[in-house]
Amino acid sequence: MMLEHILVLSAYLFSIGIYGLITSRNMVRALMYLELILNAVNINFVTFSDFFDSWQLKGNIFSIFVIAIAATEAAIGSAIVSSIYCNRKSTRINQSTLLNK
Amino acid sequence: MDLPGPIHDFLLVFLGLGLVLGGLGVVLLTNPIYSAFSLGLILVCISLFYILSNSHFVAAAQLVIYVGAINVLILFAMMFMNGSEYYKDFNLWTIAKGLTSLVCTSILVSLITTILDTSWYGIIWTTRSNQIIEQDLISNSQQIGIHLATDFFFHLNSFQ
Repeated sequence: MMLEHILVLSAYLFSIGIYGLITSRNMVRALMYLELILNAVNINFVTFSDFFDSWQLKGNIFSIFVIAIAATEAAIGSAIVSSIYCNRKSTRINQSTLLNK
Repeated sequence: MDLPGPIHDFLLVFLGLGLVLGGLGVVLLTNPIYSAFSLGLILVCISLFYILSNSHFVAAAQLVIYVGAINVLILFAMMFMNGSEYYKDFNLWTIAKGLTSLVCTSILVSLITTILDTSWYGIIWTTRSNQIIEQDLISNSQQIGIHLATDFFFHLNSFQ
C-alpha cells in the first residue's frame, strides 16, 4: 500500500514534468521541468531499492549517477540558454528558427 | 527510518501534500521566479522523502546538488531573462495546451492503473531469500560506499 502511494506520487510528478516540458515557451522553464522528470525517476529508483533491495542498494547507486548527470546537463543547458539570450535578447522557443538567417 | 507506523504515515502524507502543491505551483504560477522557488520546495520535499526511505546518502546528495547547485543555477539563468515580456501575451487556454493536458492525464491514468494492478508483494516475498544477516549492522551510507568501491568500480571510473 505504501509502495503504491509513492509510485503514484512519482507518476504524478513525471506527468507534470512532461506537460510542462511540452507547453513551456521559456527555455529555462523547460530545464526546470526536465529536472522534475529526472527527480520523479529518482524517487522510483530509491523506493524500489528501499522495498526490494535493502542489501545491495542497486537503485540507490543508480540514482546517484542520475543526480550527477542531471547536474551536468543543467549546467550545460543554462550555459546554452545564456548564450542564446546574449545573442538574440529573447528565449522564446517558437522563435528558434530565426537562427538560420 | 524506523519510526512508528502512524508517524511515518503522517510524514509521508505531509510530504506528499507538499509535492502535489509544489507540482501545481511549478506549472500554474506565471512568474518564472516563483515557479523556480516552487521547484526548490519540491526538491527539499523529495530529499526529506529519501530520509524516510532509509536512503540517507541520496538524501544528502539531493539536498546539496539539486537544491544547492541546480536550483541556484536555474534561478541565476532565470534572473538574466527580462521578466516583462512574459506577461504580455499569456493566453491561459489554447488548443495545444488542452491537447497536451489530455495526453498527459491519459499517461498518468494509465501509469496509475498499471501501478495498482501489479502485485508487488509477490515480488517482495521472492527477494526475501537474498538477505545477508550482518548487513543490518552497517549503515546505509557505508553500504553504498562498499558497493561503489567493489561492484560498481568500473561504472564510477566512467566519470573520470
